[in-house]
Amino acid sequence: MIKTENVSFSYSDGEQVLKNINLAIEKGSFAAIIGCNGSGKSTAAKHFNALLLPKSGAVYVKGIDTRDEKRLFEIRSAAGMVFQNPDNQMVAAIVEDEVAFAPENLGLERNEIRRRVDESLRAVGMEEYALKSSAHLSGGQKQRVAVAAALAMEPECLILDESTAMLDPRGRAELMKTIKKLNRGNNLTVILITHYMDEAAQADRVIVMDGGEIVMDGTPRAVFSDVEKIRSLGLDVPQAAEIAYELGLNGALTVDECVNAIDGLLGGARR
Amino acid sequence: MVDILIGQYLAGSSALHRTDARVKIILLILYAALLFMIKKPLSYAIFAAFTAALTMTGGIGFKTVMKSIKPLRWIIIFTAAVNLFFTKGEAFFSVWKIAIAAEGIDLAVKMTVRLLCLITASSLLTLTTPPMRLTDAVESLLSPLARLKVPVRELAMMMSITLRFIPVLAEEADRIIKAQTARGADFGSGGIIRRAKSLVPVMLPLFISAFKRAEDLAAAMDARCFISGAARTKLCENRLTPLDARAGAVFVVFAAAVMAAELW
Repeated sequence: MIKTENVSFSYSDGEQVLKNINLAIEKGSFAAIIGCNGSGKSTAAKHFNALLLPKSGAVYVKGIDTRDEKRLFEIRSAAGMVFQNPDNQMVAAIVEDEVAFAPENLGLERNEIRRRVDESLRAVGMEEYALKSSAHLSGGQKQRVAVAAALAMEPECLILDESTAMLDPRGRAELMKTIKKLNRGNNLTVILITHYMDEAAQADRVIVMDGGEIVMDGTPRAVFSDVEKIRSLGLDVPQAAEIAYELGLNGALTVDECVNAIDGLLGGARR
Repeated sequence: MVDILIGQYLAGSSALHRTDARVKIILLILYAALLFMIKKPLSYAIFAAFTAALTMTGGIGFKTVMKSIKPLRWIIIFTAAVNLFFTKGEAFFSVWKIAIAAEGIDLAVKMTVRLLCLITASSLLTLTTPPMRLTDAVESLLSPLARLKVPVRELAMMMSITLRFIPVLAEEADRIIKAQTARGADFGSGGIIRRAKSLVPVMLPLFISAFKRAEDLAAAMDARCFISGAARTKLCENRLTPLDARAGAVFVVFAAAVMAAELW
């Protein structure tokens, strides 16, 4: 779906933000990218839909080189993006108009726009709010509208650039549920950039970035079992994994696994 | 929360809501033009009654109308006062050195009615028209200018984004003022220059945040395939219906009544 080959990038001040990134994201997968501020994770994400172009190396979306300006619409509609601040990414005051923005830009016919708007809103469970003003929505609802606005391009991949960062716990849970449903049910490829380790643990694959490089890449279980390394990068592991680690029980990732491991430990002590 | 009514659309399904936005804009312009030509008290009465009837048709409450009048109350009072005290004519009565002419009273009342009618009618437009339809209508009305290379589409886009961000920035300003107040800033007292100076620490962060927001919005628009100057399609095209013809007819009857009152 998305492939990068030796991608390097630096802003005009000369500091190298991405160093030699090689990455392939498979269609239908759910990948999380984690890393400290300044690790280059957002910069990398902006390469996946041609918002930024690599200084050297190449990025391919559905096999199209992102430097191919003539196919910009194809690239951007294949990889939809949702940003961090729910207020700053809304163009229109009414939910329906917001979702219609992308298909309008693509120059689609009115019936097709209507169909896409309705379908996208239904996919995120916001169809009742179609005619409401976005000012009256909660943070989680606004981000779901932003997801719908990206879905209206009928993308194969959805990139969430710290989209949960400004939400309250309830809004975060709402958005995560929506994303997982789209990934499982609609076979949508998801790239989730996040600071929250419990969100990353729900992905199929966790990519850890540090100083513009990919330093770890694997299943959440594999990545989060190396607690020492994750901590040395200034990151945390999910809470359940941390408790298990502190108790000397390696390998637990979910709350259930942690409970079972502790239970096993207590049982062993009793015996 | 700073109360700003601009761009605050009230959803509804009244005849006023369903009338085409372009028709509403044109009729509002004609309404305003007519309002500044009339002279007789009867015409003013017809205007006030018509405006009140429109407000009721739109299902807009008295309180909502007052909300849009309130921010402009000083302008109304100032205009009335200027007309009251500075109109020359036969003194109707005088207190100490101040003489008030009958013509002054007449003019002050008329100006007040005029302003109230105009504010009410224009806020009826924004209250009953979704912002997107409004900008679409402006775009459609200005489209002949596109031939003269005026970037009509971009102007309409700018207008709708402005409307969208006014409440956001108003809230932000409110938040900054509260944050500064919490740290001992004083906005309410002192002379006009002092008060203006005290606003500098509010405007500066507000500008910085506005630029940040603009940058974010630009990225979000890019990501959704917006290209300045490219042809776009529309989810809802403004379309004329028989209702718009009726709206026009109602206006013609109203205008005829006003003319008749004037010529009587």
